[in-house]
Amino acid sequence: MSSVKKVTLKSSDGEIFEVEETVAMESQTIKGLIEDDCADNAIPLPNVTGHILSLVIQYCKEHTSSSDSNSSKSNEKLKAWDTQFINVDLNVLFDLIMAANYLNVKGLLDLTCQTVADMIKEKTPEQIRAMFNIVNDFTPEEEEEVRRENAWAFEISLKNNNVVDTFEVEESMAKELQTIKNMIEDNYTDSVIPLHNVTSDILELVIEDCKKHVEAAESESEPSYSLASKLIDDPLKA
Amino acid sequence: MWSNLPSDLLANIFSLLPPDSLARASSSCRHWHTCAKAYPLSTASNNLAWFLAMPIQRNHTLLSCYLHNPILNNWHALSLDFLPDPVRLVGPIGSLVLIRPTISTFLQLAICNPFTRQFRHLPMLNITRTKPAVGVVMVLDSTQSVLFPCFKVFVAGGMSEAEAPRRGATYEPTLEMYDSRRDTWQIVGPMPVEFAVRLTVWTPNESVYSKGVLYWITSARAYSVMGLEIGTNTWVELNVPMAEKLEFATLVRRNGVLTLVGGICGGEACLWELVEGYNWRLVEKMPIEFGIRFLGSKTSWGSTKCVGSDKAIYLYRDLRSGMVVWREVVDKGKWEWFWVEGCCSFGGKQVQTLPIKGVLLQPSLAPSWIP
Repeated sequence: MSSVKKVTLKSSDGEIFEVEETVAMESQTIKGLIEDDCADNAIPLPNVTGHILSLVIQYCKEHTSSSDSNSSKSNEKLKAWDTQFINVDLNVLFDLIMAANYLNVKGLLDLTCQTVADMIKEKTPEQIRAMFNIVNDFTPEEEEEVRRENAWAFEISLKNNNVVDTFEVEESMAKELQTIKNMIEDNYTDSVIPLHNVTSDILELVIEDCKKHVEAAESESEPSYSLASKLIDDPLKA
Repeated sequence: MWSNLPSDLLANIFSLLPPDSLARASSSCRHWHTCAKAYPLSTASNNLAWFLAMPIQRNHTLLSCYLHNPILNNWHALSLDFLPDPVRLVGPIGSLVLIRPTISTFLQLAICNPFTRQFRHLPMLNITRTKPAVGVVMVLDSTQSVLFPCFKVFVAGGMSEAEAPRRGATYEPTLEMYDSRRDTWQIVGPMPVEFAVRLTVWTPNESVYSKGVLYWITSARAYSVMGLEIGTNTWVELNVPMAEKLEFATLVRRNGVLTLVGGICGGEACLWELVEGYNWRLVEKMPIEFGIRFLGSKTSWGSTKCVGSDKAIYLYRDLRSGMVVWREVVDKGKWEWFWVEGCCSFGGKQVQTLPIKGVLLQPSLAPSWIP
């Protein structure tokens, strides 16, 4: 039997947890109590329920063993574990933030806060209220003021796709681009092939590039990976 | 539940949000709104500087300025209806913008935060002057924070107003300084007349502060750089590489180092760094495909403007044309070139091709204590 030191934690609803000291010390709050010799009996944690405490302990276990030289847990594996771990409903997430703060477990606090921040990003105030069950408690005057201040964040400009140019190209060249190749092979050749994500100036550059690749292929040199195809196949970059 | 999250935890979450998301979050309820305004955004690496474009319009009140979001690569329009007078942009002061009301010919300065809609005139200068050079120095204080910005504004040269109308107003060879901590201007001392003349005749654009020296570059060929060593109140003059061949030249600060961005007539856009012994070292050239795209149908670099923060350099022309950006990509630890589409339409309406003056700043939704 190993003589690993253990501490006893007691949740608000009376659940008892026996945990290795090193794991418990992931919590700076508990660490302080242990170092001040207040941990001989069960440490009461009146702000944390048993359910949440068991989750916190799970987190601490996973993150303590990662600093153990025997376990070679890569950063990526740990991140994947964190992502899985934090996939909980909002009520649990709220309790986890409060517990991580109260118990002072930095890694867990960062993880939970980042998760909430990611949920907030790019949502409208209405969507935020719906998701987090928040009531709009502004007075009409306050609402007016807030709207005036923040109006800029509610609207974004559209990209300049107004100029519509058509380009006629040989089929062999067009087939350099995987997306268009697929369209052609699906018999989409009756009318103009619309490329919504590409502006005409880029399309011009792309066609130039394709021309070069077709010429290179004809002279039996290796076609290099084309920036052009990357543009068409990756609409976010165009 | 969530609307009652303790302020410090909410502030923690808010510090991870970019300005546009924060603005929307702060519109959801009172508690979140109060918290967003009380705690300034952190200056973590996820909070990049935003490009703010102020249209240059003669004698008309600016209705809006335009903001580029570097993360989502889209534009926002921000109303400037809180400004009492028409203004011109002078330069950034952290999260604030230094502006110059255009109603008077002699220099008057004001500061504003377009996000919190705060505006305040600075006190009048001791010596009234027209067209001087203006420079900003952030005071690196241990108490420095977004809420209590500490900065100094230096005004050098200009033409002084004559008391009785007479021909030939004189160049004003004095240096004045505003200290935000005291909210007063004081005359620092005299300056060499030739610098006062040059700074007035070729009124420069944004100043750059690097390693104890405040630098300005003349606004036209033949370019030269003037520097004021703040600690000793002495002036230096630097030659500019290829001064006769540059069609535009701007100073920026890149990672704390003075950098010159210039476009060579018939050639590329280049960047030089100032190294030991006041020498310039070529560090980068804009890749040709970006140059072609940026210039479009134009054959010269002449209408190019440029601004920089320590981590990014933007080259721009007018509101609708695109921009070329050289920026540090944090994950890769190196600088890369990007193309940014211009701002073309809002709410279904086309945006006019307006000449603009740009500035890079860290948006802050928290009202600063502006004295």
